Amino acid sequence: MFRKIGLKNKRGGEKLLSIWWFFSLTVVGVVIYWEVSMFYSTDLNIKSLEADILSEKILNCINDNGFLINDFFKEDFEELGIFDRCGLNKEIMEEDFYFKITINTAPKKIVSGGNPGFEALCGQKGENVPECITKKENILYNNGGEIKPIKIEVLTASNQKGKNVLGGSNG
Amino acid sequence: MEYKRGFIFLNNKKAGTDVLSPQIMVTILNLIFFAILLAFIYRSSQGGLIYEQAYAKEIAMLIDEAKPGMDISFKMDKGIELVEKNNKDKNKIVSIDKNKVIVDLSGKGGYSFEYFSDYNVKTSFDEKENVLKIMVGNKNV
Repeated sequence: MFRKIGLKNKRGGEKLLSIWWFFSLTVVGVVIYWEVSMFYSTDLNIKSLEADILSEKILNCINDNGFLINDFFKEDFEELGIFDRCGLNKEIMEEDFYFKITINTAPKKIVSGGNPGFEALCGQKGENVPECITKKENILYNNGGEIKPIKIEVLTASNQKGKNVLGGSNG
Repeated sequence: MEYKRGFIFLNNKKAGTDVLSPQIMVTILNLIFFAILLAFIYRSSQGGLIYEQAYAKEIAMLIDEAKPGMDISFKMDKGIELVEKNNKDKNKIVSIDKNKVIVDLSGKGGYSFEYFSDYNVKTSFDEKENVLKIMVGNKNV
């Protein structure tokens, strides 16, 4: 019965709807279903754009009219200061983002925040890998009356993936 | 319709047992198959999944780029078109919940994406201009 469905006509000829006919229809159906589902559920990757926005935000908030803000060298700046000053949500940053600000003073001053594991993954390729942006900028630093130019390097990374929300209402 | 030895027959009073024409049978089955396929493709394209994701990400990025005190007008024509088709309240298209932007065009939950800025964000739909208004404020305001 599963082998073939035969259809007879009056002339006596037999047309067969073989299992191959059903098989080819199934294959076509499955392939189209898969392709359409893949197309409409494609993940729009904006990780590098987010990392770029984050780096711009950090560079803007530590720059006060071309001068590095004095708070930068405070002890608690890394822990809380930068989050408050730049308006960054610490919890979200620790989950999906990372930043590292390096200033070439002697000794080097580094301020970082977010998920520190992301730095090692920068440059790697893959779906679950963060994307990183590095920006360099020259800025002036007022060191007790002595103004000198310094270089700032900001590395930012984002690995945020959105989520489909289940439920909802038709309201 | 009855089945005998794997064949499909139609009972006809005049001629006794008659056979359904294979061409008609194949055509009907093909039509049913492609109708189901086209219906699926149409439903997928109208479901708004891709628009929900695009809008959620776009709004999250706009918020992150904004500064406190800014009001943003966000045009989402295709989204409104889908919402009207689904008879959904336009004020419920976009909601903000703990740094999450949730865009729901179909009433099935939607798509959520987080913004990293610590802002107090409110949204409302401007029926007159048909745009979404996003108000970005300081966290403690």
